[in-house]
Amino acid sequence: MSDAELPEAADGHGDTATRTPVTLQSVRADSPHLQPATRYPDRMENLISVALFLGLVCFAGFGAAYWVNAVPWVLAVTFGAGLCLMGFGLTAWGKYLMPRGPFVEERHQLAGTTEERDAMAAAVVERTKVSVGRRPMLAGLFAAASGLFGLVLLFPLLRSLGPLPGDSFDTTNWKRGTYLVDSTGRRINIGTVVPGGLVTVYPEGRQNTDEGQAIDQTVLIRVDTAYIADAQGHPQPTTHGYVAYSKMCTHLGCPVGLYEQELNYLVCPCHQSMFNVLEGCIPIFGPAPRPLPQLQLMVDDNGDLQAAGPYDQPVGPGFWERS
Amino acid sequence: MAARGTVRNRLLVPGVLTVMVTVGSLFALGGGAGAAVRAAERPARAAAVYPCHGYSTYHLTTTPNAGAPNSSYFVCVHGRLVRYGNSAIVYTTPTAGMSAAAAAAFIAHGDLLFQEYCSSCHTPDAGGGTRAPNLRGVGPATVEFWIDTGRMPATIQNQVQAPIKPPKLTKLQARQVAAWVNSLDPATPYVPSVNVKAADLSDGASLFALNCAACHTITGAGDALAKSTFAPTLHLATPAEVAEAIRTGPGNMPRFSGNLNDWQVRDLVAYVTEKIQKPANIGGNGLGGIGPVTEGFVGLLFGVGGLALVCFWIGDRAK
Repeated sequence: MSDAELPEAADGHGDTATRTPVTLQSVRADSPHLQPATRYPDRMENLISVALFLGLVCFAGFGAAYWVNAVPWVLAVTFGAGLCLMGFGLTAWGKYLMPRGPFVEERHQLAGTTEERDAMAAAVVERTKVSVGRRPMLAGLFAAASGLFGLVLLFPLLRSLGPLPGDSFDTTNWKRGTYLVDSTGRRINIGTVVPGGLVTVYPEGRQNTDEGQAIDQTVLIRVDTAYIADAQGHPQPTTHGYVAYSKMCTHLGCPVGLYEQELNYLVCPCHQSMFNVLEGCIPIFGPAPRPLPQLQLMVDDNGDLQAAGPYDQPVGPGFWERS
Repeated sequence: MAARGTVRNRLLVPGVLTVMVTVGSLFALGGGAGAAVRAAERPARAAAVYPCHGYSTYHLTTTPNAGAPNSSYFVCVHGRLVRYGNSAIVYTTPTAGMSAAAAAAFIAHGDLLFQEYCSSCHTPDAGGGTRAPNLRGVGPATVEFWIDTGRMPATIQNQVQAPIKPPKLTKLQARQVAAWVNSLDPATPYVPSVNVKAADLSDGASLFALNCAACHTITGAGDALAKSTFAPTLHLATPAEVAEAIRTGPGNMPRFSGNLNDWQVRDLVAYVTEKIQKPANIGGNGLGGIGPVTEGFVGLLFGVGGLALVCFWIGDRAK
């Protein structure tokens, strides 16, 4: 800033706005530190002008493209190129055309003297003693109010943990007699699926609920054999070839929907746990710690499949009361 | 499901197909050429679910819409079922529309081809053995799928899973082999032909997410499975091959029968051949749609690498 401007500004704002001009002693206008960083400032200025102008064109193009509802890649290219060109222009301006430097400005001590600090501390202690000690009831009430306030602040924190789970980890909506339905609500007849087929089933009436699609989902498979082994290795008859297992992986609860009909494996897509359908879905590979819970089946007079009872164990991953 | 409500309307469409077609599964055929027309005038036989002679009911256990003859019309010639289906999918036997002599010649060609290309593993009577499965009674759609996708004849024996490759046999030859295998032990499903004109793509998308995406991934690129098996890419499949795979369950793929009706299969076929195979990658290149591997690689190489170069330029002193 030049000396000539200052009195004018002072006049405009009155005495309070008067500022004292301070000359930076260390830097003179002819100092080599004030020269542009590049040796070819004119050439660089032209280049930056071109970049900024092209950026301007790009932004205008982006506006026009947005206005006419152009395809996304036109929006992306104009906007992205505009940002890149403007960024290049600003960075190049700072890098090539700004004074070369370096500049050093000395800084005074920020902290007060030892005496000043001691006096301040003494004053705070002394005056607090007087003002608070004189009104013990107010001080006590204030302490109680603020303490209670802090306690109450914990309530939303605790509530955000949600309701207590109750027995919801241990039970599903499958009961004895619950019909198996597919995602559209159709009951599964014993003739519906051929051997080697599978269908994801839900308890009837629950197929469109969050609960039904999360914890109740069950994968119904028709295998080729009359007997399978259960998880303990004992032979177990299938229901017209049908077997049903929870679709929630016992590792982290992913849907175990990958059925390989020749291997008779169920594979979890998340961490490649593999379960042998013919052996009670015991895990044979991967991180799953337990077999998939099996849903026992029965058939009504029309040949529609029903659950013969609830799952005999919690479905899905382990929790704190079971590992 | 939305498709259920409009089934009746759709059933009207195939009525014009041929005079031998009768809507509903009620007509019984007494045998003899051209008897299908007369059959409609006869009272329905309560016990005969299946309208044609010459088939045991064993092949019909797949009830509603299982790619088996459950459909809205059947065409029988000489007591043989040659075609069945509805407005969504028509299933046809390989020798449909041929005279008896032409069909016999067609089947004989298939026999020769089978003995040349298939019999060394599947045995000359297609009964299978230790090296290859039994092909009797699998239905023509199964045979045609394996040959048309180039998986069969297999080039490497004892391979875990036969890969897709350029077909060795032509489509006509595949059909002849299918006709011969089917003549040994006739079975369904027949070769499907899908009419995707009225398909509901959003229904197809949700069915794909529920039934297919677990193995084939949501982009249809395929993925690895257990014991060196894999779900193949869907980007190469024709509409008929998609329907054949759903109905026959090739290899380790589950076989979808009664749990997907023909209208749902049609919606799936339309979704695969229109949306999966021609993805609208509005963000630019889809990078194969195989997930974070390629996307992370490109992001690191060009994104982070480019930023590193820019940082280097900014930090470098001007000269």
